[in-house]
Amino acid sequence: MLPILEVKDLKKHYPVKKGIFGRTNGMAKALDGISLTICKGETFAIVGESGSGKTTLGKTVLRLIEPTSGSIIFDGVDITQLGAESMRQLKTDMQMVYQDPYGSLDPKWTVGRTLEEPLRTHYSLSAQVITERIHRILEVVGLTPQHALRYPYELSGGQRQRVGIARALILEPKFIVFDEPVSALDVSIQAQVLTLLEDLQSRLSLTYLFVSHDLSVVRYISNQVGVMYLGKMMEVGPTEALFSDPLHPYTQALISAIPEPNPDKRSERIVLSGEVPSPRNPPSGCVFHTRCPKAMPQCASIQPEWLQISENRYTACHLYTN
Amino acid sequence: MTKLLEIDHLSIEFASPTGPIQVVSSISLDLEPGQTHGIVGESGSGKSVTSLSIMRLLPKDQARVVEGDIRLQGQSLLGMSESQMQKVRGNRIAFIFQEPMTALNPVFKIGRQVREAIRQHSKKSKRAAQKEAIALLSEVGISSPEQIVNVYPHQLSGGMRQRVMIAMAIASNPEILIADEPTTALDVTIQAQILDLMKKLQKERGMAMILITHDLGVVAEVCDVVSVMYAGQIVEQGDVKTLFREPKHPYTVGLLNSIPQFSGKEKRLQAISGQVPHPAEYPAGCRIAARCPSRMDMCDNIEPTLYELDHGHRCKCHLYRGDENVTYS
Repeated sequence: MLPILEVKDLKKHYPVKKGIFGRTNGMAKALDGISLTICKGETFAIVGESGSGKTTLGKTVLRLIEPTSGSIIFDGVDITQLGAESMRQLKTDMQMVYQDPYGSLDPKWTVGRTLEEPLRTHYSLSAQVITERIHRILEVVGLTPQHALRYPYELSGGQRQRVGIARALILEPKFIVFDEPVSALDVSIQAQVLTLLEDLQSRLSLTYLFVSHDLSVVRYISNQVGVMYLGKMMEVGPTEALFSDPLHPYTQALISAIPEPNPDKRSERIVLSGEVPSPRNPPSGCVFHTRCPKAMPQCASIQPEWLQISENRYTACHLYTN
Repeated sequence: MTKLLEIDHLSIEFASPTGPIQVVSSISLDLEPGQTHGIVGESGSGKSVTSLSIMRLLPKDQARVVEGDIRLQGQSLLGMSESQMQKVRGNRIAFIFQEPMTALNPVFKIGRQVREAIRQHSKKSKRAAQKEAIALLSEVGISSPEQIVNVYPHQLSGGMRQRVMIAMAIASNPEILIADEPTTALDVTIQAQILDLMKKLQKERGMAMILITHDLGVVAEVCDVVSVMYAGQIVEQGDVKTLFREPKHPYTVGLLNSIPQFSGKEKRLQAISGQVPHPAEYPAGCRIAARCPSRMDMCDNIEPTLYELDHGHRCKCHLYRGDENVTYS
């Protein structure tokens, strides 16, 4: 399969300011050397806990956040080198859907106006064509043309998220970044939105980057998974292989922490001690060593390299060195 | 067995400009000592209103209990005076909330807040209370409690704040702990720590627990008995193993089918179509009828009763008419 997006050694470092003169005092590494490849028509999921840098990654890939270094190759073009105008044109191919369907829609705009805006920004179309496209896209996401006249407060959470998806789709993009698209929704509504995303992907041959903390959702929706911790990629692999045979101790702990809806399987969980350290002051060596149940002496001092374990499985862990 | 807490056909109305709206309708549940009862449901199902009503924390000018009773060891909580109720709150029934940041006072140090929780219910000197606060913080798994008593809530992570909340809740050795979505705001690895802690404390102290959550995984992990709520009613109730193994109500089945199963082969998710109706627009018959895949003609007009199946497994659905041993309500 053809790669549509290739990210190479992507970094985003934020200066940590201190004192009244704002002296730079070290760097917070939100993204520290992330590489990944997403093939056309695929769903690549990024999982991680708060502070892992997963949302930063989603936004940086679209250059909504400017990377510190590294390259982002979309459809053969390194978009980190593009000027403002080419980048603006590229936005018709790359779109984003946000977590919070309440915060990401303008409360004073009707749904129709929200959907009209991207069309007006990028094309000059007649009013009639615009209306037709709005009505068509509303039907695609499971709403009706009447919804174009509604305001966000008149819609339920699930309907708002459908509007957010329609806004991303109206420019007919090839690639969409979803940032926790279903975590604010109730389970029954969550299932409606997830099945909608699946249908849209096959109908419109879309490629997704799906950022989420919910491993059950990720397992359901994705083909490839990347596990992040403190700005670093811990493991990448095909979804089924990664979930049935996780390589990295962090992935193992993350998977065993999920409470399953099956009371006969009150599993012996690997409960990690401690909490995610601050990205301003990450641990030396492997960033996970302070919480790792399998930590060895070298983990505290030597940063593990990114290793290829089998055909398409990668991890960064000293257990697999040699 | 003795009933520690008994909710008996409780109905609650809220005032609205268009007249009173019933948000909780005739719900009943029993809690035995040491038991964990899960209340699970989607937004707007009435689960939080139910839990707040046990503590009598609903706004008096807006909410009104129109029917039913809540009894703690046979004594009606609804009939108590405010000062009697104050002795129940915190002392015998404690409460932890979803968002520990809003439940803690941002301008006081942790030590002072935990001390206050201790001294509210016992006549201890400041020094003795401080000592007990440190012991409690250590019991909830805080590794350096002597330092934590001197910090402010904003300096702690979400998981640590929730541990502090739990320490304050167990300060008076309550018989019942009500936890409203205690782990929803936390990351999975921290959620696992907090659930483990709650199970451990419950076992050590013999507390009964009411756990309110939207997460069926959490219910399966910690609860003994479950009530599934929908639109202000309990639609299914029973032992956790039976209910997950053989869910009876189409809504419970639908809920279980809407979560991506973590183990086993994937199949397409079966979403429940439509959405929860607004409390002012509850239909006359079964409240789920419009979304139910097994809907029959009678469902639109006749409200099903909560049929008793076996071993305390109850289900509010016309499909089980005639299957029941005894009619329950």
